[in-house]
Amino acid sequence: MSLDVHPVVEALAKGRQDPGAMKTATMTFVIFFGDGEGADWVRGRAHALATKHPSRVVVFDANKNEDERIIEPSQARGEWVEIGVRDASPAELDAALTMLELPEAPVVLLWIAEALSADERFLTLARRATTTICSTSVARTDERPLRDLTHFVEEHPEIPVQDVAYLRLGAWQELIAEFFDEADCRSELEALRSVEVTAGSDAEMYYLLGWLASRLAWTPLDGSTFAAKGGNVHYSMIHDGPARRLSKVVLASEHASFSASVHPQDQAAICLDVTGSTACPSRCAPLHTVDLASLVERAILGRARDEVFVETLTMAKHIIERHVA
Amino acid sequence: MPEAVATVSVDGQSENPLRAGLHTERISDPCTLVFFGASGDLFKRMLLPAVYSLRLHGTLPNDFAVVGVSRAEYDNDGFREYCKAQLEQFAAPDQKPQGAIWDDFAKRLSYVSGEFDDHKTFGELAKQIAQNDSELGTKGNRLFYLSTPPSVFPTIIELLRESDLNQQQEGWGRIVVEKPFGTDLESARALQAAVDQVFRETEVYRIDHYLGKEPVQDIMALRFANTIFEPVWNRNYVQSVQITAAEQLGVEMRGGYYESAGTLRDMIQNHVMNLLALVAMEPPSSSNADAIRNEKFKVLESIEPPELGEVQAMSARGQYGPGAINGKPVQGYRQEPDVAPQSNTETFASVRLTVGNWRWAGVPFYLRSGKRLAKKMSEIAVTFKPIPHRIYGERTDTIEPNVLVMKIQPEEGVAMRFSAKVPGMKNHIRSVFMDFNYGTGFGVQSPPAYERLIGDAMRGDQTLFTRWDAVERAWEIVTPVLDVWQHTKDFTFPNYPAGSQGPPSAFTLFPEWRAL
Repeated sequence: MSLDVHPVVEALAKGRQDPGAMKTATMTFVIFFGDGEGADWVRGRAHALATKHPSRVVVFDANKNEDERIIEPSQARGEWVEIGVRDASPAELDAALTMLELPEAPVVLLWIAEALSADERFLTLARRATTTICSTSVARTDERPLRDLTHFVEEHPEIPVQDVAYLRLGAWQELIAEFFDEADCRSELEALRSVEVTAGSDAEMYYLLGWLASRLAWTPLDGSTFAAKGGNVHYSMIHDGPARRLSKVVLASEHASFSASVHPQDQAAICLDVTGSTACPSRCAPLHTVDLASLVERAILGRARDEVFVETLTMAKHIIERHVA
Repeated sequence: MPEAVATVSVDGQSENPLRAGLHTERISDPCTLVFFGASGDLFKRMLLPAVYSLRLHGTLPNDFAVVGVSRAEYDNDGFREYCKAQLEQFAAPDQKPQGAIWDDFAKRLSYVSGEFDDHKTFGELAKQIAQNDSELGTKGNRLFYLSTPPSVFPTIIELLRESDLNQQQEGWGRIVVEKPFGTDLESARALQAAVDQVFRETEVYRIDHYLGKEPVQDIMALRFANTIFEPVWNRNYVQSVQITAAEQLGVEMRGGYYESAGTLRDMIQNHVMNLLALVAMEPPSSSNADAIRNEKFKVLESIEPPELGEVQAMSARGQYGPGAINGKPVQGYRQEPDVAPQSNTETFASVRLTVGNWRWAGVPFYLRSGKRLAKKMSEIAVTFKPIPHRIYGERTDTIEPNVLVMKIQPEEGVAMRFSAKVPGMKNHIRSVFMDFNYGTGFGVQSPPAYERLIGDAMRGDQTLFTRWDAVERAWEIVTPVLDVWQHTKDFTFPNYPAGSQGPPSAFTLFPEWRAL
């Protein structure tokens, strides 16, 4: 069955004649579902995002046949099109996107599927996108999607890809960095001897470790140790809590311990505790912008190529190689 | 194993390497926020919800404290209960005080009860700030916010100095001064002299909450983030500029204040003049606060204050009488509480100004503001010159000039009027409006102005605050009008019914005012 989108294009054009039709558009937002896992959840978040950034949302759903379509052409804040693409080739997807994209607006791709590097469709669509976003913790909770992403980025360095699993760490990175903003605490960075990360899926843990290691010039020695300037740093990953969520990070030096953990009674808050030589009163900070809509928005509004992310990703790959070995 | 990718060295003297490349929201230094007038309306309706919202959005530092200062008698726990009750009432529905974040916020609230002219009050305040520094990590930084009646501004500023609260061993001290900054040129200069004794200009944040409104900031984005407008933004293409700040509300319970203020002081001298500066300024070299404020000041400096003899020809004033708003009868200004029965105070003001520079020579800027008008509406309308030569359209068609409207409230957006051919065999031309609304364009509510402004003051960003030279110049511009209006009774008052388009004299001044 061929992927003929002319009827969809006609319906969209007709819908634009309606008085209540979308008047403003910021992007063509392409969502590709390769697996059924998480699709409804992602749809809900995509609706939220399209409400804030009026868009033409084009959902390519590889779980559905080509004749399964939903067309909502004249939504007040955007158009929504879903097309089954179970048997569509990369070339057909490319042609369909050409027909469906808004000519003056950028294309943003959100890829929700387990495979990246081995899927030609991803490469085809990513080449068309200004911003490409994947999620290495939406379909699986182990390290394989992350490993696959590192492979893709090595193969195609010209295509900037962002990962929701990494973007989700933003609030945590901010709070962990804040532990060491004061000069007297900063010296503790060299004295760190252990890191413990707790999360419900692997990608977030590897990213957190990769970020710390790449920023602090640590080198993974084996599955539980980094070599660092001031001495080895032991690390551990505890698989616990809901998927896609970090729940605790503890950094410890010989003299002090720095802990950030989700509040036991309030999932929207992080408790910050510093004990030892640089002890300070416990505090609570809001855990904000962790929902998918906010993270995708951050990816869209942020730098197309984030060097810290690239370095973090590369380091995460090295950690996985040592850890899994 | 490839080489380590990290390149940042770690030593005690360097910047925090974990900060590199973070998608950081702009967060201020740790600090204590001191609100004078903490039992007042502004604090409970606007300022407290703004601070709590900043906290929920993660844009407050984790080490912060809020101290309320007022005459009302609370202890710290009482003040926390008071704040919680106000947030329950006035915070946005998704920002009610609850959970661990509220608990943490509450323990950072404290209160000093006392008179603003009593040294004891300031002694207690100094103790509380010192306690915050040692227990809550606020590091000697303090932001004083004057949300009191303007009459006590000089007293508070003086006692801050006498208590050495403006100076600290470490950290910074800043002061936010609510409008009005003075009631005329002389009192503004006196207030500034008091401020000068205690704070440097870089430490003073004169707030005009209009500048914190998203659509006002969008004026700069429209002008300086697009190329298509700048080439026509001058006397060669612009016929006139209309700036309107119209309200449906009357003076409500503020009759006493309004009697001594009037619309020229209350709106034109600050809000409307700021809009004029934004629309007429030259492109600044950067988004740096002083780069922008220099250009805004240059515009005001280019406006020559009128001679006393010119005032009548370049201005119109009005006062509302009884009428109807939204179909309901309302009383006239002179019937409002605390208003004199023969009041000469204007509730409508309109002036024509010219900006004497190369860009705007000869282009009139019409400013109007008033209460109890037909509609609440704030906008800037730039009317372009008519087409120079007509080649199109049936002879009966009127080809209207292009108009670009920057809508500030209640709608927020940009509209453009242009001419288009009516479909059909004949070449009829009609005007059409292309309308962009930020609300539907981005599907999100703009953040409240106070949230933006308090956050900026904490971060030390003065861009959206008015510098003294601009305040002084704005007073200089309106002073001749104030003088004439104060010393000449207008026997036509009340000269417009509530719910109307304003007084007839406004249309004598400028017949082409856009309809409200």
